[in-house]
Amino acid sequence: MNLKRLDLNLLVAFEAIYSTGSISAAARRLGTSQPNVSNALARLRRLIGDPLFVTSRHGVEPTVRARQMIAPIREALDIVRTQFLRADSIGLATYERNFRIVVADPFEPVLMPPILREITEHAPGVSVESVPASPRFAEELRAGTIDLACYSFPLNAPELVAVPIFAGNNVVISRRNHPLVGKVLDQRTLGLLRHVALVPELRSMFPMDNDLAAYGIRRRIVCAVNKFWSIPSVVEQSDLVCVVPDQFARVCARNFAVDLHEAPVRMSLTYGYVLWHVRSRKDPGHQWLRETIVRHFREQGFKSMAFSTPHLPQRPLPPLA
Amino acid sequence: MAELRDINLNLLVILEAVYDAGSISGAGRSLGMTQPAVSNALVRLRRLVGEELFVREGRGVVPTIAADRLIGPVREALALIRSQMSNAEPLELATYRRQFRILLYDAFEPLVLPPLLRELSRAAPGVSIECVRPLPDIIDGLNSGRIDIACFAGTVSAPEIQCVPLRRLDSAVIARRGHPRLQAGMDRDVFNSLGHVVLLPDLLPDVAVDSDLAAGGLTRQIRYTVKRAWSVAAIVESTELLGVLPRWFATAVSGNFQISIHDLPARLPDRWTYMHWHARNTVDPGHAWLREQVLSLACDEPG
Repeated sequence: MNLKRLDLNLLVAFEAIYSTGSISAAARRLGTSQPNVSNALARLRRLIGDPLFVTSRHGVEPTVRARQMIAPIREALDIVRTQFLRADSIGLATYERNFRIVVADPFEPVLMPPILREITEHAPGVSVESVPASPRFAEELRAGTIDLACYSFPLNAPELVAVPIFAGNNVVISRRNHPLVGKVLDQRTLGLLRHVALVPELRSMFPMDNDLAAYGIRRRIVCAVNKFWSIPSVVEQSDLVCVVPDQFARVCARNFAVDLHEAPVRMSLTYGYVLWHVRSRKDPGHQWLRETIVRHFREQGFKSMAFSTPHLPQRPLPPLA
Repeated sequence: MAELRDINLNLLVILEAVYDAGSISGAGRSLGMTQPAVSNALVRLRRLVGEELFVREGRGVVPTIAADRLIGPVREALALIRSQMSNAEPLELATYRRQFRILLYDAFEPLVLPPLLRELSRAAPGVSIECVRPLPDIIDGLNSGRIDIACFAGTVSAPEIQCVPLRRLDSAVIARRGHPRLQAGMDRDVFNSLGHVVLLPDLLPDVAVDSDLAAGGLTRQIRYTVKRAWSVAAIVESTELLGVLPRWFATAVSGNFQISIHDLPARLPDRWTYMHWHARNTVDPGHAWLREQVLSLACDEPG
């Protein structure tokens, strides 16, 4: 195709639709209206002779042709960004963008309030969409459907940048003054108590079951939940107990009448990272977001294993749900 | 396959258990059988069907297309048998063993889960609950038996799916306690000018809160979009942002989070939440018991 016939700005709209999976979300990200984006897509369709996106249950899905196009087009746009934009060139006061991120529940109540205050004060055109973590979130980072994840490192992925922000122990939480839990929680009691825990497909990403099995402890899980946030009210108001990362236990203790107990066995640490795709490295808006997030994590006093431990863990690390 | 008498019908119970547990060892636990005995039964089933029914994946097993095809009819047959057998003997909760899988809009959690779990500890220690993650296709989940009940706003309509209303989706606005802009209370101006945390749950297929709000003259400046009612309370507590939540949820967690609850400065159309289940379970006494529990906990107070 002769490039003279192509309005290159249509490619920015194409990239935004691809990344967000929806016309309206693309419009929000670009700070324009939905009809404008639909219109751009219509022109691009005519030029390329392919529908590019088809409607699906939750928005739009790329066609085969769109999937073939996306990588080179992103590369091209990245080059343009690198050449023409710098981090200091975004005017926060007028910057319009919607970021889609994964924030593990244990981090959310600590991290998001200061970020949102900063957005309200300095970047009123910016919004953040929190997407629940799925075991597939690394693929979503790669596909560009999410911008960033505050999570644990699931696999060796050279194209993902991972900044370690947190390493913590697991502890046991119970309702305040639980009659069956003494001052010190012993192994036998832990095995006898009834537990709430994450559903198996999320739990299998943690080493917790194996850690406990090594001591011959098999938890009696009578309630399996699909997110950390379901746990504290159950623990507060029943005799069920739960093994959780200590970061989340502290969040629970702030809002719920629960007691924290040291785990009676040695358990693996839970690690937290801020993760993003290398392609975003020079995207100035993205750079602002991730630097703000990492700075707030450090200010909140999260222990950073990058400074305390010289080596990275050997095996794939468990993600936080 | 020749005749019904050539089939060991007990193998069907094992098929269902492995399908539900997603692992041989999990099925063994729920059936009170050893792992080798379950594996052995699966070998016999495969011979019977002539096709592989489960394949290994990760730490468990996943059903093949053949198993997916079989599970519906198998469940139906077993449900019929169970309903007949259990008519003979009433449900013995004290020794009843079963895992229920439920799909629960998370705003119901503080109302339903703690009291239900207390009741299980007290009366039905062999029963456990799994709150499954939102599925893309709820009808399929109910049909295949991957979920026992589904509670959320709006209804799904399919021939075999039954439902009862639970509670009106009465929305309220929450803000942090002592919010400086709310000293004179909530009005449209405050609502429209402050930033919002917006709940966009996976389980409200029919509820377009935003268009309801717009029709009432309200627009939200969206700062943060979340999938969980809990996140709204936790964020609102420590920011100047507002949130719109079901009033029952806000009330239930107002002892945990430092939030104040306000009327919406507009009247919204009535929306309802419902409990859904598959018709084959209607007469299953264990299932009926679960529905009764959830209904009594999630329903509005009578009167």
